[in-house]
Amino acid sequence: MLISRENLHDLKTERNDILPPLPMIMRLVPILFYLSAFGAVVLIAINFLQIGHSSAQLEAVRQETAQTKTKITETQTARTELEARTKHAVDLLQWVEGSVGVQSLTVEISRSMAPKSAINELSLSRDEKNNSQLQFALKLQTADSGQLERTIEAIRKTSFRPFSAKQSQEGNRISYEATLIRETPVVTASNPPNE
Amino acid sequence: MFVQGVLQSQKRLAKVNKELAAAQSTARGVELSLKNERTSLAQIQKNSATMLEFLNSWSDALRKIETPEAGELNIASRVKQGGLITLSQRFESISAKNDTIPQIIRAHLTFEGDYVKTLNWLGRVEADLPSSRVTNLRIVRGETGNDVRMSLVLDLPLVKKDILATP
Repeated sequence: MLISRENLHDLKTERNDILPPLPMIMRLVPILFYLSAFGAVVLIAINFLQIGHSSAQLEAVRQETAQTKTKITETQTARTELEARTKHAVDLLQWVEGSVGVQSLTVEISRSMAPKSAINELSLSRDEKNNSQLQFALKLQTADSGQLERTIEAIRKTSFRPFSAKQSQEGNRISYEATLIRETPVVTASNPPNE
Repeated sequence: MFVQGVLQSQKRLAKVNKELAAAQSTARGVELSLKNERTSLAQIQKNSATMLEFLNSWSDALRKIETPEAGELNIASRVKQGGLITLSQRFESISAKNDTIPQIIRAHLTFEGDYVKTLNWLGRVEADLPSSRVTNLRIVRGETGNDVRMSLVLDLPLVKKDILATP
C-alpha cells in the first residue's frame, strides 16, 4: 500500500530544533572513521608481513647459528685430537731421547785401551728419572798412567760428557765412576731412525 | 577493535624483532668463537707439525714390536742367530703409567761370547730396533781369551697402536 509524502507529513507535529544543525565539517567524521578503519587494516597487514619476514629471518639466523656451533664442535674435536696426538709424539720423543744407543760408547771406550790395559768391568745404567743420563762405572787394569785420560777423551768424542766423576787407584787397578750426560740431543724430529 | 588489532600486531612484531636482534647477536658471538677456534687450531697445527712429522717418521720403527709375544720372539731369535752362549734369558712385561707406551717388554739377558761378536750383536739390536732402550749393561771378562760376559737389560716399548701413522 502506498502512502503519499504529503499524508505522512500531516501525521508529524511541528517542533522547534533544540540545537542548531551540526557544522558541515562534521561530515568528515564518518569519512575519517572509514579511512582510519581502512588504515588500521592496512597497518595490521603490513605488520603481519613484517612479522613473517622477521620470523623467516630469525629461523635462518638460528639455523646458521646451529651450523656454526656444529663447526665449532668439529674444530674443537680436531684440536683435541691434534693435542692428544702431539702429546703422544712428545711422549715418544722423550722415550727415544732416553734410548740413545750405548754400543758406540762401549766400542769407543774399548778402542781407547792401550795394549797393556784391560777392562775388568764396564757398566752402564740409565738414570730412572732422567733416562738420557747414564751412570757409568769402569774398572781397569793398566800399567799405563795415561790410560784413564785417553778413555775419558774417548767418551768425550761421543755425545756424552762425564760429570761428578770419582776415581780410585790400587796399584794397577783403577776404578772410575761418573754420570754421563748427553751434551746435544741425538734424536730430533728431523732425524728419523735408520731403517 | 582496529586500534587493538594494530597494537597487538605491533607488539608481536616488536617481540619477533627483539628475538631476531638477540639471535643475530648470538650468531655474531658464535661466528667469532668459530673464528677463534679455527685460529687456535691453525696455530696448534703449525706448532705441532714437527712433532707429528717425528711421530710419522718413527711409526714404522715402532710398529716392529706390537705384542709382548712378538717382542720376546724377536729378541730370542736375535740371541739365537747371534751365535752367543746364552747363560740366562728372562722376559717380563711391565705396565707403564703412560698413555702412549702402556706396556714395556723387559728382557734380562746374560750371554758370553767373543768381544767383537758380542758388541756387534748389541749394535745390530740397537740399529734394527731403534726404539729399544738398554737400561743396564754390564760387561766383564769372559772365561777365555777374548771372550766377554755381557749382562743386559733391554726395554722394548709397546706403543698404543692407534697413534701410529698408517703405513
